[in-house]
Amino acid sequence: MKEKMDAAKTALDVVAQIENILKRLGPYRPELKSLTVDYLTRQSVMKILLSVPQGLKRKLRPIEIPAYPGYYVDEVFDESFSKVVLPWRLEDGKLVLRANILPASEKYFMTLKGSMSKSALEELVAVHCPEDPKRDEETDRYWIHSAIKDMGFWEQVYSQLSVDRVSTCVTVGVERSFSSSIPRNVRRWLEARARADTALEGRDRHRMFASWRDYRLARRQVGRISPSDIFEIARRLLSPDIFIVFIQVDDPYRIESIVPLMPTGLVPDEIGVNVQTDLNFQRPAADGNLIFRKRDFSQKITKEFDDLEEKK
Amino acid sequence: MDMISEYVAPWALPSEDIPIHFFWVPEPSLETIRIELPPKFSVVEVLNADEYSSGHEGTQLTIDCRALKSNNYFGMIVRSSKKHRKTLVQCPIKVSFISSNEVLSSRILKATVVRPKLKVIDAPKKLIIDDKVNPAKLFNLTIAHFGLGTAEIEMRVVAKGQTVSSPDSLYLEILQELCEEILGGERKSTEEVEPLNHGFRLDERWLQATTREIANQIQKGYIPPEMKKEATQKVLQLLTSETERERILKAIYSRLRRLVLGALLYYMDRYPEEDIYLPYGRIRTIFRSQVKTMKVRFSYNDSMGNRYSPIQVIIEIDDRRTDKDKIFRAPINVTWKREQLEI
Repeated sequence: MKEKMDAAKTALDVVAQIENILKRLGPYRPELKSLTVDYLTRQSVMKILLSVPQGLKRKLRPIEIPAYPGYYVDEVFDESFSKVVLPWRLEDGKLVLRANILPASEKYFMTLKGSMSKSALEELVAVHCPEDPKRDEETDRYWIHSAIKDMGFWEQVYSQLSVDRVSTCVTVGVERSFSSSIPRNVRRWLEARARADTALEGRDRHRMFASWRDYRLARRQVGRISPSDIFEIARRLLSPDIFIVFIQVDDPYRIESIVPLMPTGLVPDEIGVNVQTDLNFQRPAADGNLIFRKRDFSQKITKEFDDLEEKK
Repeated sequence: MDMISEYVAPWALPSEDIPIHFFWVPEPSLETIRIELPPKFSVVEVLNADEYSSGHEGTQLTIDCRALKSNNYFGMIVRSSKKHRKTLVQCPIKVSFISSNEVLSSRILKATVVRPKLKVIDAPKKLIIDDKVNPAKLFNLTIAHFGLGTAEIEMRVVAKGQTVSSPDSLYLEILQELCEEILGGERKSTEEVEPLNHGFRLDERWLQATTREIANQIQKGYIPPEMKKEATQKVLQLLTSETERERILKAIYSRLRRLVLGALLYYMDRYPEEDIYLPYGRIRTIFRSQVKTMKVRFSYNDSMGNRYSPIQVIIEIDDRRTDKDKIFRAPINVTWKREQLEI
């Protein structure tokens, strides 16, 4: 915890130093306007307004911006929003520019880009969802909550803070939907087959024939379905393109991606649904629900088996 | 005082994080926020404030609003450490917004602490074992799950202080066999097993793709906890070796048909009903002649790993077989019932 705090403090110090150095430039009056952090990629964009009045001072003082590893000057625009390409040079850990080479414009809009450390980001926002859903006959419901942990410093420094795509992975259990929708005759056949396989490897001839007879009987009842068909149905229905139909999330959340979480059992027990939202000064915390329409999903599985039996 | 947004997570298991937040229209006269948590609740983290004072074993918090970094937002992450007997307990969290000893606004948020709960609905008092009995239909129980959340259940049968039950999971057996044979090296080693071909159709492309998938699962570390670590490490080593990988893939491939069956059955066995998870699948038990009573015990915990008092059934055994020395095995057939909980 302390390490995380230290990492976050270091990240905050970086911003504080930029602020202090910019203040020391005095007449240029640079202002930190906004900070946007993309939670998923950890990329941050800092927008600075630089005021460089015309006059003698342009010849006396260079412009200095602290240079931090991973951060770079992305773009500079003048008052007419024309892009200006400037020869920044690295000097004693600072990006330095001779002010006298600037064009006539007195205001410049700078964009710095860089990446935030994972620990600093974890210190910036908290995301939560429950281990277990609340269930009814039709749906499984999961609550989701995201909140900025410490917005004070950012609020003092920037007039705008936005943490975009704050994401959390909600683990949706599909095990029961799937295992309860496999037709009973298919299950009986699988059990008979497993017993027959074991018996065939043994020496008990009576057991061997009895189990084989049971298997043949069960086999006749299921038509020509094979275990690979069952896995194929599972694979298809749990693919993101199809599964997304059975998931809905409340505003302000949106679905970012769907990832089957595959255990050794080959059929995924759980599906990871990555949901995301944006946080900022106007909305420092967000809450909502993710709903899995499990009855519709089970009906879809049953229909797939019916279609398969018909085809075969 | 105008509240823009207030929130408490609608339910949580004991020791699970419960987020709370308040966001209000800035109120210049606001001086203090006072929070009264229920007993056995603790604060994990306070959002938007570095400092706060606490009393009454950490259940009463006072936040000086000057310590709020942004003046109209406050949040907390709390937890309950208490495992209640009831399936659902609503715990009030009282939050007061104070200015010059005057309460501007008082809110009561209800944190709902839930738990899974099992109950025996139907069980035989006595089992009569004679020469005609069908073992598959002998031992039947009905257990209901009240409450919220998954109950991870371990069933065990104890007679004369000894466990006389074992997992009936074909899947586990086959995976273990695969690992042991691959590991054995000196024994059958990784020879391809002659497939038992009895008209069982499997698509070749699917077999090959699944073989690769299993190999990938092993490489990613998806190994059941009940399997030996050393065993899986050796398999992993072989799979990552360029010269050995092909040999292991062939070994997996040739055992796959049985693995497929086992995996499917195991999958269905582990989730017999919603919120019921049996990590070891079904169990069977061995009856011995000298045993007069048996205890079937259901130990369970929730998804956070909180363990609850087990439930158990005591059953009298009446062995009337002519050959009492013969081993008698029977599966325990449990009918699971799920009673949904309204919040």
